[in-house]
Amino acid sequence: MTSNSDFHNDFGQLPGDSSAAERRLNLSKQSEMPDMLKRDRFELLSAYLDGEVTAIERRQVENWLATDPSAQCLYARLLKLRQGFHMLSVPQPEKTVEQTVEEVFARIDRRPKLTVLWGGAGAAVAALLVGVMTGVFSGVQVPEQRMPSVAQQPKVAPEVMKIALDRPVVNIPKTPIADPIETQPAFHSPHPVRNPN
Amino acid sequence: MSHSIPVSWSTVEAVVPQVSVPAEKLSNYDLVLRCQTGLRPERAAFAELLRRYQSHVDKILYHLAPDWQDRADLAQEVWIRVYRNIKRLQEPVKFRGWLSRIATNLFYDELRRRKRVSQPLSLDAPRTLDDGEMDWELPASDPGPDEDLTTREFYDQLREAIADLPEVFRTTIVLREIEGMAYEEIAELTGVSLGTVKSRIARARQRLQSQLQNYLDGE
Repeated sequence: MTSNSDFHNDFGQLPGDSSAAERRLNLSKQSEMPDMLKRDRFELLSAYLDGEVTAIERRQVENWLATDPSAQCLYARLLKLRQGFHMLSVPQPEKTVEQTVEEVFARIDRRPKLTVLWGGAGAAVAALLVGVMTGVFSGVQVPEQRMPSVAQQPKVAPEVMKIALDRPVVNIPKTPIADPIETQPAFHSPHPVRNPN
Repeated sequence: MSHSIPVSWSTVEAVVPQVSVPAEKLSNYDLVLRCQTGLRPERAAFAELLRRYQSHVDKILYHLAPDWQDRADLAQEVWIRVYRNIKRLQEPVKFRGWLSRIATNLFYDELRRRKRVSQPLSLDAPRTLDDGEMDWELPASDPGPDEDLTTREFYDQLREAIADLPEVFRTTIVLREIEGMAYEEIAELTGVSLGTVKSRIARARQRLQSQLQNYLDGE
């Protein structure tokens, strides 16, 4: 590849360096022009054709074209080559445009269904993956966690709630005669406690 | 690249605008505009757009990939991308350039994929893809074509000469001459420097003009 430095050494000299430019232009007319110079000159001409040159480069090429018949010949060839590109047709495509229209719509219509299908499959895989990952990281607790907590209640609740309300929790020994005064607090009793003996 | 739009297909079908002017009678610009209305391009308008520009897509793909047998599939993929993304096109007047860019990007995607899966070149294979392999010398005055060669033969020769260019030179000159891209655009697209683009275009032209000079010097 031609480097920019080569490019500027040959053609990118400053305006005040016109004597160097003239020497190079004269050199271009000689058949023994160095390869690198030929390459750079062709590259400059090619860029000029595409409008990809600086103002200084444009003046240089135009000067060259005005004075050098070989440059004019080369430039005329490049113009014809460009015209050839623009006029160039391509071989008949294997499918007609109507076939292309039909097949493009068929592919457009098919793709969303495939997307849904793949989306569903993806969701299933994701769910499976979540399940597996949960199992891996939480180990044996998984079955318990998956069981609802209320499921354990029936075993405990009936036992706790089976309290016979009509029976005392502690067996109370029966006395032959109930003394209603005993039920009163002792310090409130105006009567002394009777000795059963 | 796939895009999903969270609407049901029945909705998509329902919102297609009913426009009285047939798609065939619209200008290119209006056709693009109509394709941009609604959630999805109107079918009749999109089909008409495809009919008008398919030859352009064919031309680009042919010159970028003259030896690929499945260019028709690639062309279909181009249109699917257009269908999905045409609403994003900011300036409908630039549709042709935008389409070229899609076709070119797709070609490069596919080229990279094929290079990844293809066998590596043997060490003694000629390095025809390298930038330094092209000859700068003008050929000697080989026996050229007879003077009565027709224009058609010139185009056949030109087509063949373009196809015979090493890949990097062919793609670069095609981007310039067929697609009309600026050097800077080509540099950006192909991931090389501006100097390399300039050099590749010049070398491709040098090769072509030297091969075809007997045709080019005529008249």
